[in-house]
Amino acid sequence: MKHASLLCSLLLTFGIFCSSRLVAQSEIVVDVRRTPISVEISGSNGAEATKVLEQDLKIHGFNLVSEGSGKFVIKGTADGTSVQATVTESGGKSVLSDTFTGANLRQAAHKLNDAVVKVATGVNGIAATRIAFISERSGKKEVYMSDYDGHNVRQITTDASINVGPRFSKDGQFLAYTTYKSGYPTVMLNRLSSQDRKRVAAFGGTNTGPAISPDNEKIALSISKYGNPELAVIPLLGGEAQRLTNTRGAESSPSWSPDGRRIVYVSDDRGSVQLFVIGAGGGTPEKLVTPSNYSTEPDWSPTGKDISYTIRQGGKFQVSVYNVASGKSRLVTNVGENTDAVWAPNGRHLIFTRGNAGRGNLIVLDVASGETLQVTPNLGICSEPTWAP
Amino acid sequence: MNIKNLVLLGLISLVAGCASDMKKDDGSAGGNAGWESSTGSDLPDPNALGIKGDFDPERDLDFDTLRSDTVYYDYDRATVKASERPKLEAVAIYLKANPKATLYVVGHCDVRGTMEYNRTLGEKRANSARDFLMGQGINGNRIGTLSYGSEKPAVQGDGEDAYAKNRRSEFGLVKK
Repeated sequence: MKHASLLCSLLLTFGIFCSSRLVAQSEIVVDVRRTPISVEISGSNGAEATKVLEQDLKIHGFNLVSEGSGKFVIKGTADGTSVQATVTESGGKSVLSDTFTGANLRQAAHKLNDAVVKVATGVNGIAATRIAFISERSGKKEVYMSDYDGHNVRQITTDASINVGPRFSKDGQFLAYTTYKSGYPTVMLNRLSSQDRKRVAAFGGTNTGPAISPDNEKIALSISKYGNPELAVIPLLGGEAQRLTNTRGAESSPSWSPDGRRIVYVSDDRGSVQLFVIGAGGGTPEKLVTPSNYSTEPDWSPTGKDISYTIRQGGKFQVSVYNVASGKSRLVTNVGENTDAVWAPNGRHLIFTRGNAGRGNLIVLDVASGETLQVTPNLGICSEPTWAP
Repeated sequence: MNIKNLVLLGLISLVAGCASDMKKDDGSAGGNAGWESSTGSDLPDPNALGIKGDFDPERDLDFDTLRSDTVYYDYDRATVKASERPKLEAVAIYLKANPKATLYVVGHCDVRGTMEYNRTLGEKRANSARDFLMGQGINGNRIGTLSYGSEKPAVQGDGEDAYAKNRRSEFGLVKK
């Protein structure tokens, strides 16, 4: 006890509260009124369903209050892999009554959450979505997939090589990534429905950073066959490359606008490392003005309104969000060091890597509330997440 | 997109279309896509360097012979410093003395950049070393490039000492 309090005061000296694990770990605090909601689920799997649902509701910006109270009251029963629930608004009006069934109980609870989020906020929930990412558990870098919270993990590659930079197609049907399996960086495309794959870019030099167009017709990527890394577009299944840039710098990290007409990317051609937007067919690039001379890893939000990116400030990496209409950036992380953020399909949540040098834990952030959730696939060091519906 | 750009795009597509009839560029061939290159020159694919199919750089490339010529770079830079030029001149002399030799220039970065950017920065470093060798009269068809970004540091650890040793291009001769 004495030791514990000594440790506590030491930690306090460094500005860390011992209770920080108990309270919601918040990023940049967002002044938002959280809607109070309560959960009361009975049945043989009631406790587990409640736990999952409460985690889901929290990361969607709700404030969990005692059973039977709140603006929304959820009551139900969970048995097997199903959750039956009714949701009433304060005043007694029923807004939802349905049975949710999944491959497992967690998925049923996730589906219930997303239905509640939809009726309560009008926004699509993300609890029933999936992510892919890189894990170094085997000592090599392999691609894995899981639920958004890290449960139900599936290993996608077993190449015993270096696989990096996975990116889902918008519909989650395809997964593109860079592999060193060929001996040098080439781009692989996995078809998830049939669990097969194809090497789609293996030009001389480095082929990396694949991003599938929203219509699943093309892949934007960085290829160096021209003599240095340039932005190019190839057909989804591989083929002739259409070169979009022509500079002495290195172009990388393309991300498509949701209408597929523009691509945001990184270039160091003008001395510092900056974000640019170019037409999907080429043209004159437009520089995005950001408050850092090192801005990388852009990801265009599915709403089209925002672009998340990584900013370096004082030697540390943080996630920032650039608003396309206003041209203004807003920092959204400040705990530790954070990189490689990508948007959830709903355009409200981000997932990124927290740790040094872009490796560590995966964190889901509700940008609207500042609430975070650590993804727990129990796979050791993880990096480079991507999000599917 | 205005009319002028549309016409231009049409012309480019036409030219690209014609070129592709003559020479298919499907990625595995790694040839010219029908676009003019204004920087550097087209990189050879592994086949052109005498490698068949997938390869394992650790097994199929010899990094020992030219180990002492490893080129180092300034932070976030890909230009060959004056202090590093004699090493590239030595590599050029070796390649002239061994006219059948082909090699890979392998670019690396320290861990202070973001991952995907580092992959292209490492490639840019390898490309600039290759350009220098070509300037010394070595045919570009003998020099391939690849980048590991920050995946394979030469030394572990943080601090400028480690970082400086990791920002490098190494030379791997293709074993034949």
